[in-house]
Amino acid sequence: MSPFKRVSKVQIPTSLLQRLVTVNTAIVILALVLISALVFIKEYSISIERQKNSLSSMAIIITDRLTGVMAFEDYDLARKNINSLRLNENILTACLYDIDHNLVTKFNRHSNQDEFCTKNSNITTSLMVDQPIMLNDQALGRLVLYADPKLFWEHQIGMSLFLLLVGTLCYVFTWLLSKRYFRKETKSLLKLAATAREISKTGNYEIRVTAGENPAREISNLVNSFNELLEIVENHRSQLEDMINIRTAQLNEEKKKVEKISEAKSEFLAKLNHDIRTPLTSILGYTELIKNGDTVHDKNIHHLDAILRNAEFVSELVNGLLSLAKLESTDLAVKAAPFNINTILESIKQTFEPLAERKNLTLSLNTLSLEENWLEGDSLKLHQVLNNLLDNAIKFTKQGSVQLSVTQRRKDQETVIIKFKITDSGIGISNTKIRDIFDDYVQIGSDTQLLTGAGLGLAIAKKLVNAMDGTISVRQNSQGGSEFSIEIPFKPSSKLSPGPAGKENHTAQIKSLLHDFSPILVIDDDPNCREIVSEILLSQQPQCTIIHASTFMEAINLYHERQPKLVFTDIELPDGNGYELAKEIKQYHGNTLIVAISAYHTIDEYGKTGNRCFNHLIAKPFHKQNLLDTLREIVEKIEPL
Amino acid sequence: MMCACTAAVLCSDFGSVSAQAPLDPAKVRAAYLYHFMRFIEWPTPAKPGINESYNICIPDNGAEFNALRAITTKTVNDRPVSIRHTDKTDSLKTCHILYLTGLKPVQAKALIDSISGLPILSVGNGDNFLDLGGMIAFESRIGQVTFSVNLTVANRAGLKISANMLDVADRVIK
Repeated sequence: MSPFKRVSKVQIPTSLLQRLVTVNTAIVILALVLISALVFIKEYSISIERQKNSLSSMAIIITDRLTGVMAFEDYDLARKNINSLRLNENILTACLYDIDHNLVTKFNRHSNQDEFCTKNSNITTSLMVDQPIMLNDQALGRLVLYADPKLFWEHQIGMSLFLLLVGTLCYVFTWLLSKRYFRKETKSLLKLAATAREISKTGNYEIRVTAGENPAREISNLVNSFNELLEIVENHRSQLEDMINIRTAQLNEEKKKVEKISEAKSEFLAKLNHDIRTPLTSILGYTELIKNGDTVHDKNIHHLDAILRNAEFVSELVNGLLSLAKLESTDLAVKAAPFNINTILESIKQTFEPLAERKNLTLSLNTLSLEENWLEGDSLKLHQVLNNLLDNAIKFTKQGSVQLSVTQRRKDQETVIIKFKITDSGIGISNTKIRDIFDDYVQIGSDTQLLTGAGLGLAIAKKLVNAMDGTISVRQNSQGGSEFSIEIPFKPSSKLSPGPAGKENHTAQIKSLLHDFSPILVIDDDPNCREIVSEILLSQQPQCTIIHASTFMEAINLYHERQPKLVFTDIELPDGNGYELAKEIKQYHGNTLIVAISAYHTIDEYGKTGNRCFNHLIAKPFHKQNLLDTLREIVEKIEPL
Repeated sequence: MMCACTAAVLCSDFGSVSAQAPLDPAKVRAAYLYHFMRFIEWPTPAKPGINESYNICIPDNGAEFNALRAITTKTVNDRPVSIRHTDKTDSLKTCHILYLTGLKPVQAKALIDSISGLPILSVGNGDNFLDLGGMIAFESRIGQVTFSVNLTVANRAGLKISANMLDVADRVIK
């Protein structure tokens, strides 16, 4: 244990009132102690002086009376006079000496004070007087008086007790008055603290504090500030609650939406599973029948149609999924390039007329009011939108007609609004679905319907239209079918239409192109793809020579060996990629036309790198028409040459 | 008031008597006379001026006169003390103290009467001296010299006797 005892700390009161009263009382006590000390010191010195004065006066009187006694040496009378000092309680001892310092007589109040009056006594105290006895300037003797210190100290003690009494009374009164005054002054503060405690406990910010009667200015300001603070907190709290309610409602709505999407996704996956397996079953079944020769030859055409239709469905499904995935993951950049709207509509017609005929539907295209043929905008996105909507319209219409009408109005000098209206006599859209029809994975048809699409077309169409600053809407038409309306702004373009006459020439030009560019190099690690490309090219120009390569190195060797002017290449090769191949070929011969065909990328995703390396891009899977369109574009580009 | 003055110390001031030797009453009385001049105030005309002295007149030229010689060496209020031997009435006017010793009562009475009303302190021996009209009378008791004062006569003559001296007096007649 430490030898040093820890000094216990002074207990500081925790209450504000107690602290104020204690401090105030302590200050008063300190002041009283100081004043008392000063008074005591002053009183002490005054008392000493007074005693000495009193003693001196007494000595002067006595010695004056003793002059005769000492002159005539009447010592009996001297003794009487000295003894008479007994009546003065202040005198402790009196010594009367003659001119030769011989003790004439003395007076001792107490018997033990003989040492005071000896001949050679030199006891000096602050309470003694040595008074000479003079007669006409001649000394006759001297009188030494000693005052009784007991009386002096009794006086001092009395004074101290008096000061103590005054101090005690001051302390009591100060304590009482301080307590009373500070209780009044701190009432508001204590009330403030109590209110703050109550608010922290109950969370009720509507409580307000009142400052009480005649409060100090600072306390009044504090109370007002506290109330203002409560007001602000209350307002903030109220706003926060409102905000939380709004956010909660939004979150609930979002949650419902997400749940709905999740539900739709689950349904979609089930449907997707069904929609992929069903056409694959047909494709596998029919292919096996044809391969094994189990069917009569006449039916083969029918079976091949079924295989093609089912394959196209799967292809469309995969394209749709990829498009949606791309739309969800990237920003949609809208390209602005001149295009002829008639060309798009013609292409649409060519694409969907066979489908409509197959279902005995009437497909009509109304473009009578079109004034501007050449527009500037993103023709690919427009094409895709119209494809999706018409595909849906034909898909969900069993009988009747599908109509596409196109109107335009000029908004101003810079903008032409094109309005597309696709009307069908199909199954229509139920009121419950019409609100969500443009959401992802929501299908128009019933769940039991087969081969009706993945429910992605409308969602993709809406995203594309919105990207082009357009609007899309749907309503039930009078025939019970659906009516989709699209309005998209375009800029008018001054490029003139080449006219439909050009189209007939393309077949011959392609034939000529393939002849002139023979041999043509086709590179793909998949022999089927190489064969399909070769067959399409040969279908256009049976005279052209097709050379095949399945790897990067084989392709390079063949290129150097045969120097082809037109190359079709896959991008992902076993020992390299199409970009490197294209760069090497371009280094050797910059005018070589290189067309990339790849299943890993959609057309837009080739981006700048693809545009720099390749002249044209075709995404897998592709139709014969896609390849022919590419050849036509090549022909159009080299025409001026 | 009884006064018992040993006068031993008093006489030692005058140097002629040792402390052990028996006291000479004449010398004690001479010392008393000296102190009388210190405790008594004469009226202004009679008070000695500058270069004047306190005059003690004595008709007797015996032992008392000789004893008085001792005090002529002293001063009172810075004035010297002189002794004169005279019995002439005319020459008494300049005396401050008339010490009547060695005279018959009739003679003493005549001299007292001659200075009546004058500021001259008349001092004599014996109790009846005061009855003759004297102011201070020496008395001897058990080897001690005491004195009595007729304050009325002294006041009438214009003399102011100090209370301190009266305290020591054996008897004071007022």
